[in-house]
Amino acid sequence: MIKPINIVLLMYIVFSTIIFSVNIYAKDGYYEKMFLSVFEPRLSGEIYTFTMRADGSYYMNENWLKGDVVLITGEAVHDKLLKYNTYLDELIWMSSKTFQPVKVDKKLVKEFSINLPEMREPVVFRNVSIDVAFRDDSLNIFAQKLYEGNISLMAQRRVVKTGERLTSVRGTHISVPRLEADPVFYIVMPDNEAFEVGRLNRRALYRIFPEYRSEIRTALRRENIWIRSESDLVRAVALIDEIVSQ
Amino acid sequence: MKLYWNILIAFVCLSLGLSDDLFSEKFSSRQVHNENVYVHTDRDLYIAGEHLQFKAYLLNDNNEENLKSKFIYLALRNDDNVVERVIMQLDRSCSRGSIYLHDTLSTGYYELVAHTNRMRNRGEDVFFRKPVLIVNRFDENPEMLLEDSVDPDAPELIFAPESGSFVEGIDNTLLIKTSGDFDAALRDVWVLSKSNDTIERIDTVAHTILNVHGFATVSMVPDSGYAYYAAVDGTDKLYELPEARKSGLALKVNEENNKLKVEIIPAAESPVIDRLKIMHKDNLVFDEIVYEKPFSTIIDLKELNIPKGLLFIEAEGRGWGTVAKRPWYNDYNGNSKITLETDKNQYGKREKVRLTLDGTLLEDDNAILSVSVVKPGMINKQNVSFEGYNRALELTKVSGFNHKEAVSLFGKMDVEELNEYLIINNADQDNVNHDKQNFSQNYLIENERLIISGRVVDGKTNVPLQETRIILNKPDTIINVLYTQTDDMGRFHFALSDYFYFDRLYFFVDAQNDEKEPVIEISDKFSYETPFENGRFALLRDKMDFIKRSQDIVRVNKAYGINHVEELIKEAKPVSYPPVIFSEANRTIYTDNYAPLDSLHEISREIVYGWQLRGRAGSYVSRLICGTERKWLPGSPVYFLDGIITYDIDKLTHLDSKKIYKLQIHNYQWYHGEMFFPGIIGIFTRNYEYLTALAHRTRTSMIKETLKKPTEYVTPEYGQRNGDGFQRPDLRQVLYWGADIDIEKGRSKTLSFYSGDLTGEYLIKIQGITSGGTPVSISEIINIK
Repeated sequence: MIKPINIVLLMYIVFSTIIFSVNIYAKDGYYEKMFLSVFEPRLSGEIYTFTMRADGSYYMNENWLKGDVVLITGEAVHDKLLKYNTYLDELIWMSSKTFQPVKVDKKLVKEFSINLPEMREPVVFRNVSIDVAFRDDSLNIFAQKLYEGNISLMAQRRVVKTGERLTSVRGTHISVPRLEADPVFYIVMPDNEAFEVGRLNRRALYRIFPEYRSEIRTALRRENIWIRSESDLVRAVALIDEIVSQ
Repeated sequence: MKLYWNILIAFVCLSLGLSDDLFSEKFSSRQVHNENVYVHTDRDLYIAGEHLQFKAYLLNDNNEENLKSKFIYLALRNDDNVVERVIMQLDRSCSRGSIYLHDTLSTGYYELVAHTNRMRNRGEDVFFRKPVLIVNRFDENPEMLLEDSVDPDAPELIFAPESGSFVEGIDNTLLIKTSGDFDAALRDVWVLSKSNDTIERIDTVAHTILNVHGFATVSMVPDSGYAYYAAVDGTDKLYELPEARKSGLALKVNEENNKLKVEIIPAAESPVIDRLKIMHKDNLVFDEIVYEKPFSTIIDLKELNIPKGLLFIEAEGRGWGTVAKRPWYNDYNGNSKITLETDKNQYGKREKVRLTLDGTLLEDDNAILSVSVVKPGMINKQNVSFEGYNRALELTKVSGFNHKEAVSLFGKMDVEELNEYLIINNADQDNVNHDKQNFSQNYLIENERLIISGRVVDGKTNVPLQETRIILNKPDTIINVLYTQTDDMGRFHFALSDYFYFDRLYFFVDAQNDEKEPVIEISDKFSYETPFENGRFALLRDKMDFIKRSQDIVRVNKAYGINHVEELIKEAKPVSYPPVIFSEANRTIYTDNYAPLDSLHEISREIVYGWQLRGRAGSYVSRLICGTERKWLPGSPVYFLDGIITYDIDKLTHLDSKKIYKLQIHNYQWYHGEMFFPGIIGIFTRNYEYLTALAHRTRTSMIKETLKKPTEYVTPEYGQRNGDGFQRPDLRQVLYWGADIDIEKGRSKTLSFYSGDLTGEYLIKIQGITSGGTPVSISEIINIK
């Protein structure tokens, strides 16, 4: 026998379900999708077919990870599946509709960020054209800004081939390169002239800032900074920024 | 256990049903927003061939710029159609411009309608509407305008006692209001008494003159044994006043110098009143014990900090509750104002006139104003003022008055007239036509970009086509593409950057989806469901001579080619980056660098490596070699002719080196979003060949709904004898129109212009709004002798 309380509850269920279904357009992100399709710009690029084998990785992230891209128009696209090919210095995007990897047109990209699972904050790379000292041309790279002030510290997350080995695949001999991360750090002056930090040591910094050598030495000693790692370099550049800004 | 599951399921479903939708508030039009538009025009009466100059103000409670509309739509329409359509971009919530009134416009009332796209969600009732009268300069019989305004039928009359009751033996204030098509402005009304004795005797006990809106108040002391009637000049009808009651009271309210004088005059048999209250939005803001009868008190609005807006003044009786109630609009808003000074009251012909606007007393940071100096005959006193409009909006918010009715009624009144009129809505809120909250979400807010919307349907069955790609191009010297997809109702939207303004736009259904015969329907933002309503120009019957003179003046100006309205030259803002699909073509080829070639086929063969164009069975096929992999790209390349997309190479093969100046070859397998291009070839011609070569695109939908550029009114300068225009007649009826006047707090600004050859009075009319949202309205008369 159906109890009255069950009838009431059944009516609640039916009524609430009706309300829910009426709002389905709002609840499943319909309007959000519509607005994204209206306002969000598109990424452009060539089909990406780079499939070379290697010991080591061509990519900063092997897996497709979500990230954002800011175009030179200032518009941004969000939550796209991205990979950064550090060997080619190219951003690769995979469309969630076509599942086709695309090498994004570099000159249309101002900046991109990727959410690496091991990092709290997304890693941000900017498309920069820097005038490297003692070079005629300017360098156009994706660089990670590690520090920004009057002077900036940027890292080119380069991957280079350090060797190769021969192997046989189905009777065919192929050469498999060995890849290693070889980041290059640049200190960029306010006028956009960039100096490569050749080695991670204090002397590299003295060479870049000869006129501030003694102040820099004093400051580094005071703060007990030995340039042995990237984070040491960041701290050191922040100190130098204060010194040169005075 | 069963009960437990039942409750759990019910709770879950109820929660789902009642939970707010997850839609971003940024775009939600469902959230209540008070966006409205007010348009100040230089005048209300025009001769066809002149310019209607305007300044549009966006009124929005929200201070966040990114939540305000940035585009406004103005339409000028008559009974038959929309004769002019204008889209303006808003800058600091304002926009200025002009509409040319074509020589062929026929004489009659027109309506200027203004709105934002977002306002469409609230229904057309909230659109700004302003009637304007346009007379064709060749019309020899403008008197026909009067035929509509004179209705042989007498008006309806409504009587409303100030306190709600018409009471014997005490001084009552009675509102008399006319309605109907009868032109009641400035007509006399007499209140006549007729004794109930057998001897017929009619006396005049009161007299008043109706204002331009057709109502007035009258004071009288009704006696028992008499019947009272009203007679209106121009009709023979007698209107019986309501019967006076023996018990009750008169609640009289007057204001002077921001002080309210409230009187309670009870009749002999009236309830004992012991309390006088003033309510504002259900809050008690004033309370006084009534200890004598009759009772009178002065309430200092400033000192007591009575809030601005609609108040209800109530007389309460012991054991009776509210006995009488009187709505009253408190317009006191501090001393914040702008003052106007002229250097003289009287000027000669072609003499410099200086107006000084002083913002010393402004409480807000600044005020944005528009100033017109025109012949008074061109102003319709029955039109809505800015202050009146603002008051009407407040009344719709506070008391739920219907927006359209509130604006058309209250918007035209000054605050004294409004307070007189409010007697009619005395206490009985059931008579108020409350706004129905009828929001839709179909119209997007254009807070950053102009939005073009539309629908795609099957041309044969009219069924909406879902998931159909629509491409938007603009003719240009670069390849540009915007695209979107229709939803399950066949709708689409494009958000356009300023790259697309001021140009033709072409919409195409992507040929790859081309199984049906799709038809693109672009939403017309200028189509209105609300029928056109004829306006009324106050005292038009007295303006016929003025209209005829104005026609002559415009004819003279046309003969001399005199035009004072010019496009405003502003420093060009950088235009947004175009929606390109690649940063740089793989190859760009200029045909001038080669020997002339007679067809596209020859060009492909001789100067473009890797592009193969072959005739096959009466048509052409083409393919490209991939720039990366050196093999043929799959499929045919996509062509752009002068920036317009086409997949049909056959229409382009006739183009030769004389017509083509540039080719861009982008021979890659290329993606732009989800759109795939097996190579792209851009062909750019010297003379817009796309107009003829692609004219066949039946699926094309082109709109030229471009933005209008702001204009300014340029007046002659007579400082130097041989200055510009000195030898020509200066018959300006608009001496000055300034739409970009910004007054800062504590500062003043002087405007100057020269008078013309027409003598007589000119009305200076200043309207605007302060940064705090307070409307500004100033009027003054100057004389040209």
